[in-house]
Amino acid sequence: MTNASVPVGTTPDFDPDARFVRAPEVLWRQLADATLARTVANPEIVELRGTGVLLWMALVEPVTARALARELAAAVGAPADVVAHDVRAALADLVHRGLVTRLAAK
Amino acid sequence: MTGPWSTLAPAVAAHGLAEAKLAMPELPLDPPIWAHLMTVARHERITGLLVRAILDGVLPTTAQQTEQAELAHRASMVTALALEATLVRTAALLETAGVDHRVLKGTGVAHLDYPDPALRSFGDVDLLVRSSQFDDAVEVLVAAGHQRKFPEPRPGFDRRFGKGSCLVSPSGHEIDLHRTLAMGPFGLRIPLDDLWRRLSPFEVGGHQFCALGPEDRFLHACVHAALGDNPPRLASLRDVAQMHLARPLDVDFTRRLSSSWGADAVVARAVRMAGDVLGLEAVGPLARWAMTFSPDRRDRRSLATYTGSSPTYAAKSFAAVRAIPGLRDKAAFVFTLVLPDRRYLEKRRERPLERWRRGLAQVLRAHSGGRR
Repeated sequence: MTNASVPVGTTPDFDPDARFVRAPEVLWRQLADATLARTVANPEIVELRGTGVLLWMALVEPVTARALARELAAAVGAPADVVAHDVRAALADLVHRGLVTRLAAK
Repeated sequence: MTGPWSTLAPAVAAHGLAEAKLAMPELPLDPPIWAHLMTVARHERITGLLVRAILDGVLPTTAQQTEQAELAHRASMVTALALEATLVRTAALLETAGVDHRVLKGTGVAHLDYPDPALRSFGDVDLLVRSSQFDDAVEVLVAAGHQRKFPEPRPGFDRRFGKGSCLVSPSGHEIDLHRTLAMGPFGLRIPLDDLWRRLSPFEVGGHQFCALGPEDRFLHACVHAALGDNPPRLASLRDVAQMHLARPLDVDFTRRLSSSWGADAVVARAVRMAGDVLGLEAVGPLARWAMTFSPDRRDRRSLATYTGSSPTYAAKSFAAVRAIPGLRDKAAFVFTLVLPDRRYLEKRRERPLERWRRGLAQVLRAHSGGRR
């Protein structure tokens, strides 16, 4: 089981208008304090905790990284720039694992 | 196991139902009792309800006990996700070969009948396929690396008379391929075409699936609880309660369907058992009907082959003879059971004469049990 990590020192550049959403082929369960997710093809389980759970909940509908960061910063009361950095890194990781899909800008 | 705390697991299994009346403890359980509850919760597939009862503040626990319950539930959900991946791959194989299917039990029930699929654990994949496509379905899966757990008694037996076949996927998961919903007389009474008339769609892993319709699903839950494992798992009894108490069910249609399946005795037994074991108030028209229902002699004898002190494959099979229409089919069925293929016997480590004598003894025992 893997915890979705934020790669240290990386701030992936996203098209600011690109939207992100849970990948259709993802399998997941919401537990008391964590979200478990995997794809059909890859048996590796990713465990999201803390703000990762909030991030996963927000990804039920397509959302931009910027809007997501704004929403999470408001929810946890953290500085927006720090949250924005973490959100971009987490999204990059989840996209890489096939759990989140990046949609083209509208 | 009996004792003042033997109703603990049933109380957990009933958690969240308005009709539940079994009491929970007022203080965290002593370690041995807690350890027993954890073992039972895993076996009975109710870890989701256990964690929910803790989070809802209904079951007091120590921090360590909460952590143990969450770990057990996490393990159960990892298994559920792996099984869903197997389901998606299996369905894709069948669809490519043009084999129609319906999802039964675990996955379908978790996604359609519970407010949160994490409340329902399951241990295998169950799919219904049409009798006419049964052999094709097995062939497709075997060609893709699945293995039959047991060979057929004789070629074509499963398609004509069997409940289905169990296969093991390349990922090591059991896939129960069903043709009908139970073995023995009650399974053979179900009008199989009827199972395909209604459906409930749902999505898993981006794949569109169909389960049975809501009332058919409830009847199947009753069949599984009343005729499957004896005693049934608590999760199976919760399914019965969940489907008729926690979500809308067309009771009149359910009763008509039950009669057309020849399953009134089965449904009454399942609803009564769910109420008795889970400690539910007998509210609602189905529960009231089940309380007063009395099976006729034929149904009592049929039920005894599933619920007696030693419900055996042979006894259920021979009791099924009455439900098979036509003398020729009856003869083919009996012939296959008495003299199956050598490969089948080898897998079960039996010799023909032993099988005959053992089967006969079981039939006679079930027969006398049914007359009591």
